[in-house]
This record gives sequence, structure tokens and C-alpha cells, in this order.
Amino acid sequence: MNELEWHRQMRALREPVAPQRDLWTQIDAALDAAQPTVSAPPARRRPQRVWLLAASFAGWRYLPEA
Amino acid sequence: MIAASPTSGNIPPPAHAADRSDADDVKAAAAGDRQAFGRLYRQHVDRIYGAVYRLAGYDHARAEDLTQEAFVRCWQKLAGFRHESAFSTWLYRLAVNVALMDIRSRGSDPVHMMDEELVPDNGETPFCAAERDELERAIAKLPPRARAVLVLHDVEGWKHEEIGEELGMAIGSSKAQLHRARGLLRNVLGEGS
Repeated sequence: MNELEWHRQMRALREPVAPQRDLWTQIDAALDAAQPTVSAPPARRRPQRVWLLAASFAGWRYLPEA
Repeated sequence: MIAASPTSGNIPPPAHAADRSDADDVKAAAAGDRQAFGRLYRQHVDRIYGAVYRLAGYDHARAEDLTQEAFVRCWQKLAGFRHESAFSTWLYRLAVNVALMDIRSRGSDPVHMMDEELVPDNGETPFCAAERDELERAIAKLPPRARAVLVLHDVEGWKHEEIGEELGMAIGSSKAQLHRARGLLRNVLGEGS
């Protein structure tokens, strides 16, 4: 047997195999104790802060000096 | 060796390809939708089970444990899935990693523990033909780490670089393990085959 035939023979073993019993019930139960590590979405910048920055810049730039 | 999967009342129905894609279910499952995750399980379990079953030496009990662990880890890590590869590929790699970690945690059969006398010389071709069942039984008899390298390279089609990375060994060690595994396999199968 040459290497090509060997590889063909071995690759033929690569097939899906169904479990002998249902695994979902146990997995489903295990998920209760294994909550997903959902990362929180990045906090949005508060719009008020942007307006405050803009207003303070405008005040500094355009209002006459006291 | 392919067994029928029993059905149960609380198992989500299998996904219809036309109705739902993996992407929809991955998104929903990442947000905590257990039903969507159940559909992903149903869609992929046979492929995942097949891979860990081979790595576990065709041991159904161990393959079941490893498959369960793989899906639980998948659930935990799903929010971090970046869609850079197909979900099936990501899940498959995760499951193989779980199986390999199991082998590594057992710390079994480094190269020097294998019976060198059973391994043919470098010049001798280790390739031999066998019936499928015979081949699977012979693979199951290999030491776990040598079996992992053989299964990943010759059955799953991995490169030595990938195997070395996952098993924490040099590329040369992976090649040496493969040569030894093939030699041991030939020995188990018998010279006459």
C-alpha cells in the first residue's frame, strides 16, 4: 500500500458519529451553572457631556473677556 | 459504529436549513437563547462527537463527557465568537481542544514511554491496508498522545504545525509521534495485512 492509498483509507474514517444516547438533557442542565460570559456593550458617552464640552468651548472662544 | 440518536421531548427540533441559519442561532444563543443553542447542538453534535470519539480512542463514555464539556464551553464562550471563521469550524476546534486538553491532563505516553521495538525502522513503510472496523480497533489501542497525532494528521487532515501548537510539542516531535503511531498501528494490524 502506498501513501496515497493510506491517506484515502484514513480520511474515510472522518465521518460524523451520532452519540449512543441523547446528550442534550445533561448539557441543558449544565448550562444553568455555566452562564455565558456575555461582555457588556461599551458604555455610550452621555450626550449631555458632549454639549457641556461644546458650550464651554464656545464660551471660552466667543464670549468677550470680562 | 454509527449509532442512532434517540429523541427526547425537551430537545429542540432540528433546524430547517431554509428557515434558520447558524448565524441567526449563534446570535440568539450568544444573547442567552437556550432554544437557539439547542438547535446549534442538534445541527453539529454528530460531527463534534465523531471527532472527539476518534480522539478518545473510540470510547463512547469518554466521548460523551468530552462532547458535553465542549458544548458547555461553547455556550460560555459564544459571546466572544467573532465570526472570523464559520461557527462549525470554531466549534470543531474548540471541541478538539477539549479532547486534547484531556489527553494532556492525563500526562500520558510521552515518546519515550512507547515501546520502541514495536516501531518499524525509518526505511520501512508503515502503511498497510485494513478493514474499517479493524483499523478503528487498532487506533483505539494506540497510546493516547500518539493516537491524537495520528487521528489529527491522517484522519482529520491537520498540519504538523497545528498539531504541535495544540499539543504543546515541537513540529519534529509531532512528526516523530506520527511515524511511531503508524508503526505501532502496522504492528497491531499485523504484517500480513
